[in-house]
Amino acid sequence: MKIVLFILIISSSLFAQTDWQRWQKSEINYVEETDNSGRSYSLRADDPFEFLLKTTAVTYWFFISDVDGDNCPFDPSCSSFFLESVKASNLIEGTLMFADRFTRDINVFNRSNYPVTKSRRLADPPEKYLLENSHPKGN
Amino acid sequence: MRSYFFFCLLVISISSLFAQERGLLTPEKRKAFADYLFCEKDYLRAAEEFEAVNNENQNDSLQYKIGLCFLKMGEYEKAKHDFSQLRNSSLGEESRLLTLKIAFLQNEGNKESTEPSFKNEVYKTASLRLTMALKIKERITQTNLISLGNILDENDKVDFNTIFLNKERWQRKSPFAAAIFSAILPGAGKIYTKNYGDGITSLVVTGLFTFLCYENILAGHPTRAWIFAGLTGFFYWGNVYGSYISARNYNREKEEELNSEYESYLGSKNYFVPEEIEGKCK
Amino acid sequence: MKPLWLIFLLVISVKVGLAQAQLGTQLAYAESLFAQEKYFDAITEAKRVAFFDSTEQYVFEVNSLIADSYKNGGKLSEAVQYYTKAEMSANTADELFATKIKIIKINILRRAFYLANHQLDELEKDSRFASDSSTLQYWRGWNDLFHDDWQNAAARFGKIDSAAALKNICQEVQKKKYSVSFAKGLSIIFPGAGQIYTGNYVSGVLSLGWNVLFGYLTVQAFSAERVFDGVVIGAMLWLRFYNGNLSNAAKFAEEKNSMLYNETLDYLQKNYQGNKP
Repeated sequence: MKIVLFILIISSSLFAQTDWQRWQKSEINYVEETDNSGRSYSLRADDPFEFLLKTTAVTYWFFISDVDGDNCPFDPSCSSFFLESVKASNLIEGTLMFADRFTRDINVFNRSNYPVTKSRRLADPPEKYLLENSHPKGN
Repeated sequence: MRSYFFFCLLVISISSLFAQERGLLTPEKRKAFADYLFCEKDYLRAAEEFEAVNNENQNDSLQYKIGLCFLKMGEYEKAKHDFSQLRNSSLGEESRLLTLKIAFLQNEGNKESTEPSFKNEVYKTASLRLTMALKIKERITQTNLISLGNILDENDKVDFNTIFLNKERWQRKSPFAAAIFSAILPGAGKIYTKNYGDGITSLVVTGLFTFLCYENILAGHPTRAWIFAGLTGFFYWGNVYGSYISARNYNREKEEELNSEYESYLGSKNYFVPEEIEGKCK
Repeated sequence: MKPLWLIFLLVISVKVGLAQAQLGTQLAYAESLFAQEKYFDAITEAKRVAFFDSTEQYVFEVNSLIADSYKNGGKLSEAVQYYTKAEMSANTADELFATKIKIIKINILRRAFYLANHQLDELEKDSRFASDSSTLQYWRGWNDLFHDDWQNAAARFGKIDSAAALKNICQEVQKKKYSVSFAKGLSIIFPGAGQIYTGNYVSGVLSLGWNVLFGYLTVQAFSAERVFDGVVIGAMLWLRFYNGNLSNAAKFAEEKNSMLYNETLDYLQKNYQGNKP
């Protein structure tokens, strides 16, 4: 009931909100928006360890992940999750986070508690699982 | 007598012709248009119109309406600026009350306590309720719940009591307990935090690799046994870590949910601020 | 007594006339702001006209102007809302038709294809617009074109003499498009072939390599009567890469078609001089 009420209030003031900021001419783009949030294959890294990790990941993507089909429902994918986790914490914590994510990936039961992204993937950012995380993102 | 009446009518009509010289931009017309825009929730345009009239003819009620427009658009700093200039005017108490509401919306502490009390009884009660709501937002206690008794209506008292019970008495999950549960039986910590699917998956995966490791030891394949032992450890420790995080996230999500429930309850009450001081619309 | 009455009446009529003239001037001012591309302000001034227009003389003009302004500001939902208001206050059949077409154009732009089609059906059924069938055909063509249905679009433009250029473009795109089912079919028979068909040679060769390798290992395991190994390698590796090969073939064909679609729409937006959404 609360949700219905909320949607009603939001939709009734939607048009007015458009004009709560001055706006200018804006041409409609005929081109359909495509999802450009793909993997970064760049090997740029801040330190040798990160470079090594990135090289391993890119090699894995090139030879295996890109050829074996779309098997991961999450955003970021498991390998990107691992990279980001290690970068945000350290090798041990990142590995533990990755192992936990891997379990969530093979969970075939219920995945309804993840928000869905624009590209229809399940949002599951590593920040949500960091030990030192005062501002959780995601759901 | 009749000719005198007609003469007057004529003079009025002719003089109104001169008033039309400025077309639709006379202060009265602009104000009427601004009021219409305000009621249509077209607040930026309304503010611009009120401002145009106010620049020509400074007026507290116009300044107040400009502040209201910014408040409605969520431009709190601008609204506060407008209301602060009206503190000593006839709309001073209304402005102070709305500033208090903005403090609540902006998550700022209550600075109102050092200020003189409200003379208007309705505003005084509203400010007391709002101040209390602000304290409860920071942390609800049995003491401030009891002190609410004097300033709340019966229905509101019941609502606040429910909020108190929800906020204070829900079952928190201990991250350490979750980690220990998973250390004893893989997946148990996840089940404890209500992530049943992840818990069962963890139990199955860890169990399967443990079994494969054991089988390979028995079959005399040490390399394979080591590989499966590694995988068992990988999933086991990942699950212990994940259970700790899962309990922490469970608590955070529950807290966020209760806070947003509280906010939407107060929103439905307009933060105890009388609706009529925020602009009358049909 | 009489002259006083007359003067009074005269003043009243001048006053009414002046008020109407003021509204006309105000509307012209709003239109001039629109012409200067100051759309936000044009809406403010048009709303002012609407507010003081007690006789509702300019309802259609005001709502159309507001809708046009929103459209030029890229705010399509708001534009439709005001076009709908304009539609309800249209004074002539021509105004009504023009407004309905404007709504259809927005629905094409926001890719509400079924709605646009339905609205075109409604117009086609309306006897008042029987002579406008080629206009309706033209917008059906644009609707199909935006819907990535180039074949139908070409057929519709083909029926209109002035749309020959559009017909040619649509035919060209139809010829260049990759067949998703053909790409997939190729990869079913020969892993990697679908990817090579769409120009993704490296991916095709890699796919072929993995499938050959794991196919060989699976067959070898079964031949050596290592059934467990055969099942594991076959199900977890060969099948995985075989499925990946199929989904990649389809994905690459779709990606190429999507690029072609966007390039053509971009070209039409920038270069086509005729009537467009």
